[in-house]
Amino acid sequence: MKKEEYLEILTEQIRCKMARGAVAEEIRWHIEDQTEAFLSEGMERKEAEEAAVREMGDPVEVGQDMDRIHRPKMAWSMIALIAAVSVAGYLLKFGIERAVGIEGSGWLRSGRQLQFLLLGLAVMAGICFVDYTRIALRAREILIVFYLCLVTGVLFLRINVNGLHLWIRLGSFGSVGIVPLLCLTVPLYAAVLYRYRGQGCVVAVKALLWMLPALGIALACPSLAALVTVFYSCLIVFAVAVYRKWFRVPVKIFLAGTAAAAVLCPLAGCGYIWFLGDTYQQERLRVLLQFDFSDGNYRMELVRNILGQSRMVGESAVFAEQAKGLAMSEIMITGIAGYYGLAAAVLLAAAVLALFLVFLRISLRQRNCLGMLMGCGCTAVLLVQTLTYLAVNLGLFSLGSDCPFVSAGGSSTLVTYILLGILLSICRYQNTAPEIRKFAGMFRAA
Amino acid sequence: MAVDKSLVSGSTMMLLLKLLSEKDMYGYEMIETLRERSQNVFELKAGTLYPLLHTMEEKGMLEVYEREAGGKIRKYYSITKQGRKVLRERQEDWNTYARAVRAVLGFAGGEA
Repeated sequence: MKKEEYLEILTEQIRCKMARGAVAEEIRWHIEDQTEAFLSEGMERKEAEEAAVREMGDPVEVGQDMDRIHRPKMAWSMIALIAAVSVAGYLLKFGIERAVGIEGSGWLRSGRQLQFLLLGLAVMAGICFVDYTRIALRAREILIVFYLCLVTGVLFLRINVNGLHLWIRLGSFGSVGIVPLLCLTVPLYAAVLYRYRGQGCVVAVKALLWMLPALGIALACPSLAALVTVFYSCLIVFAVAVYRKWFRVPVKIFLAGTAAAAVLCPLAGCGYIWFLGDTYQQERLRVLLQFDFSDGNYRMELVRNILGQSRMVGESAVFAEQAKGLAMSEIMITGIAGYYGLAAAVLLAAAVLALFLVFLRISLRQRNCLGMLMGCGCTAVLLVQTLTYLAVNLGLFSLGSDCPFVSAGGSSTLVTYILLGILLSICRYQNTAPEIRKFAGMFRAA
Repeated sequence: MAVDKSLVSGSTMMLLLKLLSEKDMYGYEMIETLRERSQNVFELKAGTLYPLLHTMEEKGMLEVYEREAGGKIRKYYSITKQGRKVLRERQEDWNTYARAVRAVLGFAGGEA
């Protein structure tokens, strides 16, 4: 049997086409090495190649073994966890909205939320079948088009609500939230960084430039929640790439620089508002920095009152008295603590955080570098959102943020499930798209 | 020299981990090294080796990278922390097994 014939029979046994190339290449190199060894023993080339192929063993058997290993595998346990947290979040939310007696319209209506939850789960299921590695091929182009669409939407189709432009009008399809859409730029940003592996210090400038449009759009809305989520998620993605030695840069200096940016940029922003901002912005900052919510911010006052007097299990008197008729979407965890008791709130928050931490662990263990970084990007967004939301719900500061599985909102629900779909796709294809690092040590983790 | 294959098959993973604990190798190099060190006792087929290497990689015992050697690009395998842990466990099992066999056969003690 000839080498090409052997390889064809072997690779035909592997059902996942994306895994065939790498397997065939490795076997081809082996046959060539063996052929050369036989040639050095004095065989003719044709005879040597045939003998080398015979040495390989039955191509069908080898191919079937490879098929068992390199097969897309659905992460059913993660899907079950997502479904369980989704249902728990929805039911608790539904109960809260009934308790506070909100009969409002739009996203706050539980029936509408159920539709988005089911739609989100369907979208997640669809995306997890998509080969995420295809994104890397056109990551820059996709991100540029995405930014252009967002800028166009913000400039020409924005909906103005009290000076905020947080939604884009989509004609008869309703509207879509800009903040959730900005979150989708993070996995794309990770895919763009993947393309810069092996580059030198210039990568820091490129990393910053690719982040800027998203930050600019967040400022134009303006949305502090989007700014925080996108900025910190992108920094985490960049830091992971630096730590894994993707770039030819001094790792410790770059990691220290990234940490400094994480601290100094918010300080610089605060300084700008403090000295040059509008009066109302300075007032907000004063309230935020002094942790004093007693004058004017009823929501933070409510959060502190409910948390201060909530019971371990069951409804607290403060919740029953003060929460009626109030929109709870941004303080849903506090609402759960007030209505169901602290235990339910802690359990839900722990379940959401645990789910994302498991995804972070899975992402960091990916052999495919693209999958590793895109997974980190998706989990960074979800974790930053959740931690920010929990901080608001602990009464630490006031920020209009969303939380996966917990807060209301059609766009944010769908984006959460799109990010989860990408994570499931990364899990699904982890054995079919293994990454080959180019040279030992160059891209290896520290 | 020919030996019963069942003696060999169970320990192939341990032998590969041992080779890779000393230095990174590509597939063909592993087969050759194993043959030389075992004085032609272990003649591992490539058709057995590669599925096993890929399984070990899937389980996190090995990592893979490409490197140029002798004008050719080769796929090198290196052992991970997890792989070293498995190697230690397998070696302990093997030593226990070998001591037991020697004891039954009536030979004097000594490490395998």
